[in-house]
Amino acid sequence: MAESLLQLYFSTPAADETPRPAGIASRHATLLDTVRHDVHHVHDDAVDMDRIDIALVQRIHAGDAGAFDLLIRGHFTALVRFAASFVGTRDAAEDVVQDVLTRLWMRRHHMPTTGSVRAFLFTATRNHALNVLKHNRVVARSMEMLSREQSIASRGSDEATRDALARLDAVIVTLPERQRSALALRYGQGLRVAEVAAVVGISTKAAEQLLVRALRTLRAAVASEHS
Amino acid sequence: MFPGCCTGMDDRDIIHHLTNRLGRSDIPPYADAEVARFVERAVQSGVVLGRWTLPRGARTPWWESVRSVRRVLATTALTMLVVTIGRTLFQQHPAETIVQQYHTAPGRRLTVQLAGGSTMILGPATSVEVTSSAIAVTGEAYFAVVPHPEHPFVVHTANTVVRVLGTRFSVRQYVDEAQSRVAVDAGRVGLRLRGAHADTAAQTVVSARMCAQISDSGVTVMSGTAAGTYTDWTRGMLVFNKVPLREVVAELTRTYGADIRIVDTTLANRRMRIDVAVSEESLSQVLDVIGDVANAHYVRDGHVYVVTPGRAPLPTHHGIPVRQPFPQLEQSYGR
Repeated sequence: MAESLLQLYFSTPAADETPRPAGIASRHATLLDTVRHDVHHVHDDAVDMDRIDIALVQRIHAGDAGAFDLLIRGHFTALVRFAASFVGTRDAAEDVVQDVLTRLWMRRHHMPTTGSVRAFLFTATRNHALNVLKHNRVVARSMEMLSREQSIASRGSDEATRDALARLDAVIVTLPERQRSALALRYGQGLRVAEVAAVVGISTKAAEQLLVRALRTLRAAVASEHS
Repeated sequence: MFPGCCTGMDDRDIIHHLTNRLGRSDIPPYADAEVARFVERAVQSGVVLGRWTLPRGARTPWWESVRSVRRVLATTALTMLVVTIGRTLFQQHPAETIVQQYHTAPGRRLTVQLAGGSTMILGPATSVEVTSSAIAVTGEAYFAVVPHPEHPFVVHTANTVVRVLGTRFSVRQYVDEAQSRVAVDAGRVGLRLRGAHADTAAQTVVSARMCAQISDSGVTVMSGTAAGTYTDWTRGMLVFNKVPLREVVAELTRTYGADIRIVDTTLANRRMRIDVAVSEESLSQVLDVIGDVANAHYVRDGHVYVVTPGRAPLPTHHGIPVRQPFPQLEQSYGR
């Protein structure tokens, strides 16, 4: 009897049942409706998304954690995938994005309410990923790892294509960081060229040229065997 | 002519490949609930830091603190209730009367002489309850036991029962730890899991210079140098060997009675090898060393220390960098 009581008194307490901060989930439906209502122009989907994001950022400035959640929901997977194109593994990418989110929330008053919020999020992620990456070799290693997996996956296709893809991977690894980022943003995560330009920190025209140059290198790599 | 035609690949194939590969489509999309977890973590650590990084208007509103006060009051009331019930029930069994209770605050240690000549050292942030038949430990405690064959010496943690004759050993299980640890300096002790019956359960015997980790899944016994370091805290030493900074900081928090936080997950997971002489080094000195090793610095506000990656910014006076004095030559020549 006494022992069981001791056990009761000294047993580790049940998992911490802290309530979720201010009922984030419950407020979402109404919040999104309100924000949509604020946005009048619904002609262009992409621009519409931009306006929703900006409306959300205005609420974030007022300290609304629910708006922050809603904003991140729309971009989280893309941000993790983008970070993974730098740091390799999914876990490392999640760590990068977690740090970015923490910093964004701490410095939420600095989030822009003009232009593309998405470009801002990707910029923050790229900067932090580059900080985390001490050596470009890590990228190379992650790509190598991937190409091994991929080569197993694509065993079905014909040999010439497989060779070409392998060469393509080898060249992607050697591309300058800016070109690789630009390709990952444009074709990997589907950003607009103007947004790519904002993330990489150059003009839209220069971004177009950057992409063209990168693609030209890749094309040459695919064809090199036969020339 | 487009040169890629010979291999049957055109621009569309290349871009398709880029989408899959650089776009990392191998990572599956995240569900809303998962994202919410990440955001929550970000927002919570943001609120913690908000006290000094944010402008006045953005601080935590007063009603938030009232809510946490209410939670503390509720927990205290519940604990008192349990204690009262426990007391009344114990009083019906005079053999189990609580003889004495001891508590230490974070940053404190306490040495206690027990009846029968045995000695007990309480680590920081520890509660010990001595009854006539057993000693219950929440936290960390070291025992030097004088043998009395007719009265076996019994120590409980949340999941373990330790039975001893004559020995010196350390017991540890804090409230937030799932497993308990028993490190033996001299002699031998017998262990069993808390729920198991005394007679039927297989006892694990731990000998001198060995250490046992007890979790719900079973007992792991280690020997060698690692075991010795677990009783060093009684001599005012903390020894960390490839321990994640997260855990180092948890230990320092208890030992120095300060509140230390790490902002960065990469930094928190970094493994450290560091020895701390608690009585000789101040917490700032220890954190300076950690900063040197891990390329980080800390900011202090009262008893709250925040460890941030990167070197400390140069000191400024009204925004103008202050010139550093000459490097201390004496120190750099090892004097």
